[in-house]
Amino acid sequence: MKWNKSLRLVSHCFVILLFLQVGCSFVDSNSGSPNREGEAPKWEQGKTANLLGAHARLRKLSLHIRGLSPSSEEYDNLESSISQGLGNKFFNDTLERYLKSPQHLGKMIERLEDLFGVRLNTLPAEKYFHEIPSKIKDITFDINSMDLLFRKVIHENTDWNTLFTAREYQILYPSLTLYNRPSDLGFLNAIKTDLPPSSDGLLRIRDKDEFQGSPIPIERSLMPVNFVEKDIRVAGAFTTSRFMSRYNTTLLNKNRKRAAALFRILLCDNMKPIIQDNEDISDLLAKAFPRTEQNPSPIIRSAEMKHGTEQTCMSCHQKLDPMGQTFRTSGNVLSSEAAPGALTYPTNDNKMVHVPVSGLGELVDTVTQQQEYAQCQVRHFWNWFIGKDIPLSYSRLEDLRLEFERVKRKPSDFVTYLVQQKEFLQDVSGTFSRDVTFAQIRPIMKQCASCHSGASNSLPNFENLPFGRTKQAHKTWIERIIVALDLAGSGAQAAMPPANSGWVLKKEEMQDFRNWINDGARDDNGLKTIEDGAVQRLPKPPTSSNTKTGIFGYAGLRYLSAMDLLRTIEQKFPNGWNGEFCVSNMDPKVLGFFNAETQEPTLQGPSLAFIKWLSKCLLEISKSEFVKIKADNKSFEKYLGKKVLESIAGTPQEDLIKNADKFAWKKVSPEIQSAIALHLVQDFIGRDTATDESELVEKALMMTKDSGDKMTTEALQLIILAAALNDEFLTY
Amino acid sequence: MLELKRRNFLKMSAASMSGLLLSGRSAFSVPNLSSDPHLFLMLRTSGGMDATLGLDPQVRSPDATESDLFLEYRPEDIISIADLKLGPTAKPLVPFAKKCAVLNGLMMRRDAGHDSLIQYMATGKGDGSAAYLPVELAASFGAGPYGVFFTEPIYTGSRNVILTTPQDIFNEGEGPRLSQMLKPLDPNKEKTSLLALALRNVISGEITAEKLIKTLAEVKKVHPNLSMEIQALLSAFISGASQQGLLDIALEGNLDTHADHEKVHFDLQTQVWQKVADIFSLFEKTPFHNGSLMDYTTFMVISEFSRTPFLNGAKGKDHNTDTNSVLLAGKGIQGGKTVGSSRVITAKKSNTGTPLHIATAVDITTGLPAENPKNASFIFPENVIRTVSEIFGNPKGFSAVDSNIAIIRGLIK
Repeated sequence: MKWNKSLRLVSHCFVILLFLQVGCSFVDSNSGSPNREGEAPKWEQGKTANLLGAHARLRKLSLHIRGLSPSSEEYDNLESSISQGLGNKFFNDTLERYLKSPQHLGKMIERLEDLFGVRLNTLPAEKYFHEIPSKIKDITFDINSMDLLFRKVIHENTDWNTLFTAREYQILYPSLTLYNRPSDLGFLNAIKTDLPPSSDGLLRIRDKDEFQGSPIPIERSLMPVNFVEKDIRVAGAFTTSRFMSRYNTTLLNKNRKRAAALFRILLCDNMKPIIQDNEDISDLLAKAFPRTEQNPSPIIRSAEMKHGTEQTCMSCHQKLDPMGQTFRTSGNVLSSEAAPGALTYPTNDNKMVHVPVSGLGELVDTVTQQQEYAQCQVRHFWNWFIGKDIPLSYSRLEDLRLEFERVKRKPSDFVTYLVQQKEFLQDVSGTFSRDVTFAQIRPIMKQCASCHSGASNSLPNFENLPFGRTKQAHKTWIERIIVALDLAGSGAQAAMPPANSGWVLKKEEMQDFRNWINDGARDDNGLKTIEDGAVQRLPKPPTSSNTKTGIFGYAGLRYLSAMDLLRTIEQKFPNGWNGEFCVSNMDPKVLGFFNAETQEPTLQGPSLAFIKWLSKCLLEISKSEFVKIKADNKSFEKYLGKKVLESIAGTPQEDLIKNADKFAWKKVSPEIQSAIALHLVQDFIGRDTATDESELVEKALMMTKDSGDKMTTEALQLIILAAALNDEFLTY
Repeated sequence: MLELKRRNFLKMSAASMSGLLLSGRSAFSVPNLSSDPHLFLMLRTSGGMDATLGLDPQVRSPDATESDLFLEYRPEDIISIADLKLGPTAKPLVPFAKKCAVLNGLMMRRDAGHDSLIQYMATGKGDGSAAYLPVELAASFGAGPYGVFFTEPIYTGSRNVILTTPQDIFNEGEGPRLSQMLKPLDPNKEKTSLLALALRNVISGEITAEKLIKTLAEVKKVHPNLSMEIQALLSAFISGASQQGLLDIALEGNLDTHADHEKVHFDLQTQVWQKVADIFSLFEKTPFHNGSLMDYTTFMVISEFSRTPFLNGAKGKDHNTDTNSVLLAGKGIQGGKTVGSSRVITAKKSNTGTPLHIATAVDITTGLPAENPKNASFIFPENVIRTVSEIFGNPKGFSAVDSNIAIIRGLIK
């Protein structure tokens, strides 16, 4: 046992030394501002530089860019580079390599599919899109023009705007569709008359099971479909079968659903219909009674007509309706006729933009010229690479927008910049309070301003601070807002937003508001605009003991997705990888899948089903890995770790390296058992990452104790399971 | 009498489990671990069901024409049983009429789209702030160790409850038993993350897991032709693994018949009620405690809205949020009863100039149909959710709808 403790102590000392070493290398390079050469950022004076350690930085980089945790070899290389004073070079090279990896392509396609609300595939996207054979014989190979466009932008690192404005597509020919939507060929047939007719070679399949056991003799390949550069009818991913079918239209809907998707994707303006339980029902009551001769009530408008024209409804409809008109001529296939419409929306400084356009293509071209568009795209990148829960001030957003434009909106270039920024390099683990600046409050106030615009000149511009022209006016308005939103209470007595506004503040938004006021109503730059005690202290939410994972529950976005887990499992067990096992037993609702309607994860965290799925998947894949290693006469050393290999050299336990599947676990000395467990825990969770690493190692070892006659590989499986069933493994 | 504290409860559970294994009795005959379980199953169908074809049949008045009210059946096709009137698609419900209550004339306020309205119907809130009723009940009334059984995405709001899928139930019997294996990972009680919660459930759920596996095997044997979802649901409820469920009624077509409504919607809705009746029949035949599973389960069958009374230009029927109907059945429900009503107003008499099928307004002082808009209101989804909460004893912490929302007493036994 003494040896065991000393081994752990040595290991921990090594980690500490490594951390200090990296810390020093950061300090050395802290003389400059954030730059693109991979140097660490300069920290603001007076703030604690709570930087990530090198291991944690590698893990974060790998997970955010590839959706995959680093391998042990990568950690080893990092340590070796740091010991040679080449830490920054290592990170630069690694970043470049990650950005060119198939996993980055897959991860970005998945992010874009989530953004468009169209996620479909059950394997990581790179499985379909990394290498596309010139002749595709597999009928289950379903790739479509939208994903191929995503692939082009990420793969070739082209202008991000191409996603939305492209006039060049690739489609698979002959067409074949597994789903209830027109094939890409059928979708484009009316507008592109030089294409082969869709009935020529089009094969519609409702259920691929129909074709099990009877392969269709069909060979497909990619076909380019090009339009003229400024074709007003065509707009990148929006004029694809997949988008139009996903956001279908009805006589009542009048393409508003499509317009709402455009506003969300292009301008980060989320509009969702809601029903309030205290809405005015007088019109409904008037409708419920028939007209009589004695009581000839006036004809009232239908609720839908009324909804579309009332002032409170107009805050959404004045934007949605003109944009929706540009889709008017297209149902589920793209029309050859362009439909005119307009881009109408209020800018950041509350000026109404109204640009009439002749077609959807022109509309999207116009949107991409707007400052708010570029800011919104930056926000997407921020949410993906920094975190939705990390505050982004307006001035910071503008800085990043300028950089986005400077790198000509090339995604890999912008990601390279982002991941070297202080917000990425900060260690936010354990920092679970939400710092709120006006940047988080502005969208709420923008909504207020949108409805109040023109209502009264006595109202200040709510989108800028201070509210009103004087400090006193600002304080008074904040006090009025406290009352109007019932921030001192539960919100139940709120007079604003009005019941019939179709808009309601979420509990999280209410709490952000309270936190913002309690903390001095900080502006975009984090400076207080009201003095402490100037207004009443507002209630805080009850503190939860769930602080460690609170941020993840709140943001709901930092859990590894099921696809990330599949990538990681494949990397950890390359010999035994059989994605089919884990996929066929995976309920897609378990984790990481977005609800396309809410744009939030379907579940907010791991469920019972998820734990069981992950456990059984890991046990099955690891078992298959070990069987394969033995069958191929390979070594188990990868699962033992470098330090263990050194320790057992020349001892009877050396047999472990070749025969772990036959070597009884009880024959492994406790010291070596501990070292193996530490290696596997670090391999899964990351080195220098888990806060309770030694406790985890203890637990993992306890799992191996129950049965005395276990083989080593069985024990390894259990240790792996212990490491994986951990919040720190499952979260970014 | 033995006090049913946790320790005794666990002892009893273990005893009944060992008895089960020794005697090899059918899992169906094993008493549930709880003394008086109360299960809840929400059956959801999407697309918007034409109430006139099922729960709220209509007869065309002499002054109405087909352009006011399009019907595919004659007055004599309407089924009258007890205090229920059922349209021809709901015929499969006849054998269960005494256990079913129909709520007609439910006002859905306005057309905010399928997603918002099914959420409104399932939660009682149209602003997305509440969890689906099975989740809310699990969080307040109490849940089985496997939490809420569900087949399609379920909205959990801010509720931190365990969810379980049919695949999970089926996976339970496959591969290694996890409860013993994961015991050393039992998290510290202070940890309340979803992972910690789920882990604790896996580790402590060994008895239930054993029972679930045995029950599933038995269910598969007795009902080999049932779908995987129903087999899993039945097993989860019988074994006590779950006490609440959400089951989507899958159809071979789309109920959202904006075009070509005639016959198509009729056939699809018939499928819905046949599937509901099949579940009722299954629950009724399944022994449970001192009766059948039906006796211990409250059912709620929902759809997002009804459909317009007339055919549009594409011979379809569009969304009608002016009325909706809900079927409630089973434990705590006043069977054979219809509550609420709707009316058809012809284009000539309609205040909007178009024919309406609309919920009857209710006088809030008497609860009777109102004669004029003064003091009148409607029955809304929040009233239904509040009523179900009452059937479950108004559990502490139930917060989907406010406690001052009126309860529809006529639905409660």
